[in-house]
Amino acid sequence: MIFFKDGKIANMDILFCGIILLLAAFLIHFFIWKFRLPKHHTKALLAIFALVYLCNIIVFLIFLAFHSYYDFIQFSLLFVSLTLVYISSYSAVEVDSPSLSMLLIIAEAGPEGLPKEKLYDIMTDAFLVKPRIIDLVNDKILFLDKDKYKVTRKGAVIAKMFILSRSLLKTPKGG
Amino acid sequence: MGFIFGFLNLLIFELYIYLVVIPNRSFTVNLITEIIIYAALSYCYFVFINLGETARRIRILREVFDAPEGLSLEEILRRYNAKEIIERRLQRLLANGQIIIEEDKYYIGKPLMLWMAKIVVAFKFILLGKKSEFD
Repeated sequence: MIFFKDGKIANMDILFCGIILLLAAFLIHFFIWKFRLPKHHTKALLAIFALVYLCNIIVFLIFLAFHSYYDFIQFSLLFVSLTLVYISSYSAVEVDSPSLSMLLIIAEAGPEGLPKEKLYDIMTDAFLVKPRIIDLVNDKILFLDKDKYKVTRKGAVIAKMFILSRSLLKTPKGG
Repeated sequence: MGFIFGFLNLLIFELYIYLVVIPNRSFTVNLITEIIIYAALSYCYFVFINLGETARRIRILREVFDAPEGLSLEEILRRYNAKEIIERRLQRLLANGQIIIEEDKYYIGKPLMLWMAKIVVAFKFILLGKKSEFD
């Protein structure tokens, strides 16, 4: 592993730098979360990872550290793709997954097993549906008009995107 | 299938780059980097498709989108509620063997997803200081 051979990033270092910078972004994210939990987790994560990426790209460009545009694109793709993996997986941490929650509840019941009615008693609309409606309102995807929820422009774009992808796959509404 | 087909194309493309376009580059290191990028983007695509399949927010959004006059909370719950959410997931978990049913009671089957659930809870505790969003 050679770091900055002849003042340029060598092949192996694109992989090494990408992973190190991701770890650095993760550490920054961890310490910020410990210090002050942001209101909008996903936006905050995007901002942290984007800032780390931009700062390093500027440094690398100033020192002309890339051999070619291919190296720059490869490094960027590596960092951005792994960032997207982390951010898309983060929602499992932020929000309780019903499937995983059900497994934990069934596991807690132990050798006696869990009757279905007990599952319905624990996992109610207040647990499964209402918090998600609140999230949609907080994210400005839905808004409340008197006593009716309606879709914002942002929400309409997201809805159309998923309607299109589901229709291309010829699958019904999920949930 | 799509992932495998794409992966084969990636290998062919990498060979072309190595043999024809930039022959001095290290093949192995580049291949590893490209595989990581490909796997990461494939995962993101899988997450996007899975969102349409299982995400509650997307379903709620679609129900409201389909009603131009809007929906009250009661109307939303009539179309999509805890009962449907539980039923869908029970079917999936039973189909994958993650849970089993005996004499109308549910038990853990294959423990893989249960371990994943515990890892997620541990990670949630480390990052957020709580085991559930409702704590």
